[in-house]
Amino acid sequence: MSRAWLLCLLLVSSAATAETGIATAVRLVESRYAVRHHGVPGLWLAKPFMIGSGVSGLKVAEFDNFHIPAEDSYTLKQQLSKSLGAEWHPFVEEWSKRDREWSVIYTKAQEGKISMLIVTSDNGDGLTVVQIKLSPKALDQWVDDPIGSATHRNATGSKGLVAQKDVPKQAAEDHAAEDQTDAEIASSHAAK
Amino acid sequence: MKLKFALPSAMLVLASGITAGAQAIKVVNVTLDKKMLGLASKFMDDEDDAAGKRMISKLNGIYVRSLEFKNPGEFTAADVEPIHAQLQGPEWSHIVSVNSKAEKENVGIYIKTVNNQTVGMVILAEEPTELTFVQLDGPVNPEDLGELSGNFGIPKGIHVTPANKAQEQPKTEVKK
Repeated sequence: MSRAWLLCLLLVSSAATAETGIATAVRLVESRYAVRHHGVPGLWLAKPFMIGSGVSGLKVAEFDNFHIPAEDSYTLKQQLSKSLGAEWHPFVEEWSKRDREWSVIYTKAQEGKISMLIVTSDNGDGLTVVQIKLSPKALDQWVDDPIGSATHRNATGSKGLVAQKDVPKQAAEDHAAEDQTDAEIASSHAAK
Repeated sequence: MKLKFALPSAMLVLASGITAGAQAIKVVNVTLDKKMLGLASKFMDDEDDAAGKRMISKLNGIYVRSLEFKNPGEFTAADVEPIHAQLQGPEWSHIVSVNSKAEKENVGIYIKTVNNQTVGMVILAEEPTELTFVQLDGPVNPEDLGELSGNFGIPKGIHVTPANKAQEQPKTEVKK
């Protein structure tokens, strides 16, 4: 019996470590700063507005009243890159002294889609970690104007993309799998 | 205040000290490596994008760093000098420089040549409150720069027109 449990644990553990993303980032922040994240109640309400935006698979974790100290952002980014692994590519990083904001955006190509992981910290909203999937058109917009897209995005990382009406409706196919963030993080914790 | 930039041959590595030491109120780094450029080129299906697609498919990466300052004069020529110094090596050529008094903008374009092949390009655009530094890593024709200008974080309106026989250097236009 204990062997079976060990086998199960190993399987869960390997599955959890095989894929990195929002859970990896949240776990890193929680362990480094001894803080706890929370999900976003009613996130599903935003989903209808995302259809046609080229953004899907929205996962959000928030840390209220917590922001990354400016002097720590460099170290955190190093650790984040290491934890996420080589499949995630650093894409945009932004510091704003004026808004006391720090953001870092990673991308990962997976099954013909692009996943984007956004970690953003500012004094007003605290720390937010967002993971989304982008359609090719939405990615094109980000690549065309990465600075503008990064600067003008909202907490879901989707501002500027929502305005794009002519993108294919690819968002719907992933909706069933959304809102898994907490379960993902919980299983990741359990596997740890 | 010295802006700490470093320019290794293959990839732009910008010292982290710049965020702490510089007076910039906003710093944005954009990294488009070969994989990302490959993905982007796949999605460039329009005929208008054909030249840009061809160009980026050959590049190893595009790296952009943009610094925004609150007031004019918060960075000076002396601050940018270390960057210029790194572009003085034998492989680098300063091909064009445009100083627009009206716009108070200076744009310098440098190319890196190895064995008569252009293997990289650096664009340094200075405005009173903004400094933008772009590195294109890979084979790039300066005359094709217009295809990328305004995209990928590269400042808008930079075009290098081919040199004719009467001119020694190509011309650059900076359009607003």
